[in-house]
Amino acid sequence: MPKVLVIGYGNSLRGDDNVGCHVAQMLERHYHDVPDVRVIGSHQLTPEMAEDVAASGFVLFLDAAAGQTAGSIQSATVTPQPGPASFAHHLGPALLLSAAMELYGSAPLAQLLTIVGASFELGDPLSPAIAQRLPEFFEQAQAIVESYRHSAARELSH
Amino acid sequence: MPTVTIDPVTRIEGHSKITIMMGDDGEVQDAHFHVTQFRGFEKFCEGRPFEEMPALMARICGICPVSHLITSAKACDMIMAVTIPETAEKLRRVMNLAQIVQSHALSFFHLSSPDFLLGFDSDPATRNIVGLLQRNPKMAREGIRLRQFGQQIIQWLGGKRVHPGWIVPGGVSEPLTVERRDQILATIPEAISIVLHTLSWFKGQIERFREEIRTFANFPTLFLGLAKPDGGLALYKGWVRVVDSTGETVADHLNPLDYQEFLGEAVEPWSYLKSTYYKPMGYPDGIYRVGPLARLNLAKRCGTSLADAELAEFRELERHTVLSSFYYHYARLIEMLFAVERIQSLLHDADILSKHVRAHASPNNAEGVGIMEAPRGTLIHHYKVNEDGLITHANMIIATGHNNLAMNRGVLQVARHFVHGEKIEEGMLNRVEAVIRAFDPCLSCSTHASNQMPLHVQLRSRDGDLLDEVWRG
Repeated sequence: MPKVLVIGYGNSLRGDDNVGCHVAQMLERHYHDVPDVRVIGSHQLTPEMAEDVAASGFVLFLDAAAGQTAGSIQSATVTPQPGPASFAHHLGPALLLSAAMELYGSAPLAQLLTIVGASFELGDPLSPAIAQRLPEFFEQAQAIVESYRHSAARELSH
Repeated sequence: MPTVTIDPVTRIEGHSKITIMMGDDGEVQDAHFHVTQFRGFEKFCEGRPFEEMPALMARICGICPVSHLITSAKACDMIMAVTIPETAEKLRRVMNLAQIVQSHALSFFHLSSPDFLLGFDSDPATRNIVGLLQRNPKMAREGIRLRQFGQQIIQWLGGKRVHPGWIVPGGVSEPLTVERRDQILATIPEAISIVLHTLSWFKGQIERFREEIRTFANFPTLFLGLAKPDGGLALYKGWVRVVDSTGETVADHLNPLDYQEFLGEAVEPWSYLKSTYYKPMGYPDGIYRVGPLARLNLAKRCGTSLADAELAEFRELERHTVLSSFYYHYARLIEMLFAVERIQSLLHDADILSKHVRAHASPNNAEGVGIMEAPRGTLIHHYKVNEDGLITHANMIIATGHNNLAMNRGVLQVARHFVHGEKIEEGMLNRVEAVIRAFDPCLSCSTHASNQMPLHVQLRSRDGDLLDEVWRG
């Protein structure tokens, strides 16, 4: 079965910015013995991840978002997009997919699941508002992974 | 006075903006590089046990965590009053060199090479890593291979690529195994080949950028960094050396522990980033630069054969001391070559597999200072502890602070050359940003959020009225 790659990313000293890594750790425990699901937690997306992305059948990006409604969860399809330039030392998901396509000839299906953070101040714990929403964020991430695995399994059986 | 604001600067780490103040004659009067993100880490770590500091400080940054980790551990070594085992020091050196490679590779290949390949006047939508991939996929792959080389070593030694916890107060937590050593050694030839190939390519491009070389923070300053007692390049341990723009030694064998005696920190109201200066010359005359360019200017030699050959050629660029900050890129390539060669020689040391890699002790000193050369320049961690070993005071001087004065003056120099009138030109914007990128500043690790980092450019009148505005992204 094509591999699923989950990448949760964020700054672990910036409160809710790290929520993607928190859920990545939960998924890592959940899929610990499942060979076709690989989970990465990272400070940020970087160019060398393109190789792992290109080798996957599906990628789920988990990230924090800024916004008015803390705890609001959104999912969006990500497609390769070459620009504009990233602000910092990390890439955005669309640029990373584009890099995978250009470098290794393959950009898998991908989704970005985000949750609006309540606090990005210095400190490693999540804010109470986001900690409360963590189970829901995890369940939605897991549902996306399972949805892809089931559809991939159906295609294989046909 | 009309004001051009570029906010934020793209492809550097952290939050910042550039403001250019125009005079009534349409020419640039002044320029500021602002850092608008407050770090606050020093206050954050007060009250923490000192043993926690390396792991905590490593989380400051996703690009250079190893620098903070090792510098913090060195400060803790001093608090414990221990001399760490020789093998532990060598292993720390290997990890630091691996980080130099991966960090310089990110800066050169993925942040700056699109400018070299596509030109400073090219479309910003394609002047990025994907533009690089399309124009020169071989170079893009080689950049990724070098990043992987450095990160793989960090992961093999430390257990993970980002924020490894293997370096601890007193040494390292685990010795190196034969298998790991041989794995690393097997990757050396490819890394050397890539750096040599890229150096050859870059040297062939230099003529195309004469105008940028002439105007990218190209002025006399001091250069500061660590050097070995014999003047050789030092990245892990050494005395502080200061040279002037002619290469003459201003100060040598300064004890890093006395950094407050020779370094001052000035605060400007328009930036959270403190401006560090060389105290004996006062502020702002004590302007100096750190990082790859400074290190090569003040070192008498690298100490490895291939890097020394490249250094000799580098010295010919501007008759010994190289003043243009455009050459930071060139210096990064030479340092990568040195780093790979040095990793190889360290791994061939007879005692590199020794099991004695950690000293243990309780706090024996009330304070400790750690100093090291991070990819971007000299990094200092200074801690004070109470009798229970809890942090009561922390001070960090990061490379970007050392370079703050030079970056500001560099922005002004570029703006005066490329900005005329009140029209915002794309090539002008990118050159103003590119002079900052040459220093590869790491302002702080960003709180990132999807789609929240566009380039914002404002043109304002002397009264603050908005005359023109551009959003990129």
